[in-house]
Amino acid sequence: MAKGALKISQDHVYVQTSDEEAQVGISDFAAEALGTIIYVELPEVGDDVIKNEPFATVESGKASVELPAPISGKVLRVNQELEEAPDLINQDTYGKGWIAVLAIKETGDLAELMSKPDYDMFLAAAEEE
Amino acid sequence: MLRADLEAERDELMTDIDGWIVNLGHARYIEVLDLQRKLVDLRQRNTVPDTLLLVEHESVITLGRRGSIDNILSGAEDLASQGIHIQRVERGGDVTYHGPGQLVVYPIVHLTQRNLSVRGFVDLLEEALIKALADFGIRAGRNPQHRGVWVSHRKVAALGVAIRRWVSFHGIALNVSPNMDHFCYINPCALRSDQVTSMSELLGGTPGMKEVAQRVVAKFIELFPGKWHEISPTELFTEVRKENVSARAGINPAPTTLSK
Repeated sequence: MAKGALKISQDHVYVQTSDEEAQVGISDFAAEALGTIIYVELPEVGDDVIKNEPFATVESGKASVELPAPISGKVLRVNQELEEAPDLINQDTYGKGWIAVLAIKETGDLAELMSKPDYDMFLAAAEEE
Repeated sequence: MLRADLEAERDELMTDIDGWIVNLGHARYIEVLDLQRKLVDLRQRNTVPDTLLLVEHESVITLGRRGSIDNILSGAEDLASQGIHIQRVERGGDVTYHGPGQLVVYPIVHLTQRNLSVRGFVDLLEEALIKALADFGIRAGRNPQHRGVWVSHRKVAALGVAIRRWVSFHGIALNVSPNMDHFCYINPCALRSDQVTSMSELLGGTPGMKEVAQRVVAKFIELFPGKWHEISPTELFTEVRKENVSARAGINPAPTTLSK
């Protein structure tokens, strides 16, 4: 499968595309900012997720954070391993800490996301403010 | 730049942020939950400022996302017969009891506009309560294993926060002088109910709810700098209704950008 570039939303949710599929999870910055993740509420396989609408929830300490979907699509797979080991997100968010794989609905959604270098600049700009 | 300069600069920046403080008095849990959800939505659209709600609820048991029904020790019908309802909610944490004599604080705060991480935000909330309790001569602190505010091994304030698009809701519940027997209905956050305490138990006398609320608000303002001012529940409801109507009518298209 051809692996596309890593793209990240302003809500710190990443998309890693391969062909028509998109793996989604939270950015390394978000994982660090949240602290150790103790619970993940996964979407259901077959769910239609809508861009900017919450599709999953991660919980650290006693805060639960809803994750807005970075793109629209249908849930093809979810990372069941997170149910037993939610802190895989802290250890390896772009790898073993993935949350779900979506079938991409609108490829145009991807164009609105930031590349990793742009995202890092976005974070640096937010830091300066 | 010196750390103090940086902090002064940050404080100066933050003092431009408006804030509303609203004391709702006694209000039903479900109604305040609905109000919070509306405020979160409006806060994301930047049509309302950060808002601090203070309220005392009727007796209710709430279950967080991880909440297990096993941690409710009484049967649901048994509880209902006493007028205690069970409500599942989107906040973090397990099971919590709310009732009269408990000061519940719901901060609707835009985390990114204040440059706060989720962890930093929760720490500040706990700190506000710890400082307020110190004003009453209670030495409270954190517990490395559990969130909330503790006096030695007993929990005096429970914490459960939710974040939706980087706006916080739900919050912290301080036991001022609730009926402690009601905690026996639940296994509060999987702890034994004898690990819960209240200000009146600790002080051997009941502090006034109004005075406690004032101290909590004062500490909150200290830790979340801004132009805070108190508005009445009626004023808040009017604003929420107005903004909801204009949002539905598309008069106020949502600028939901994350950064300032």
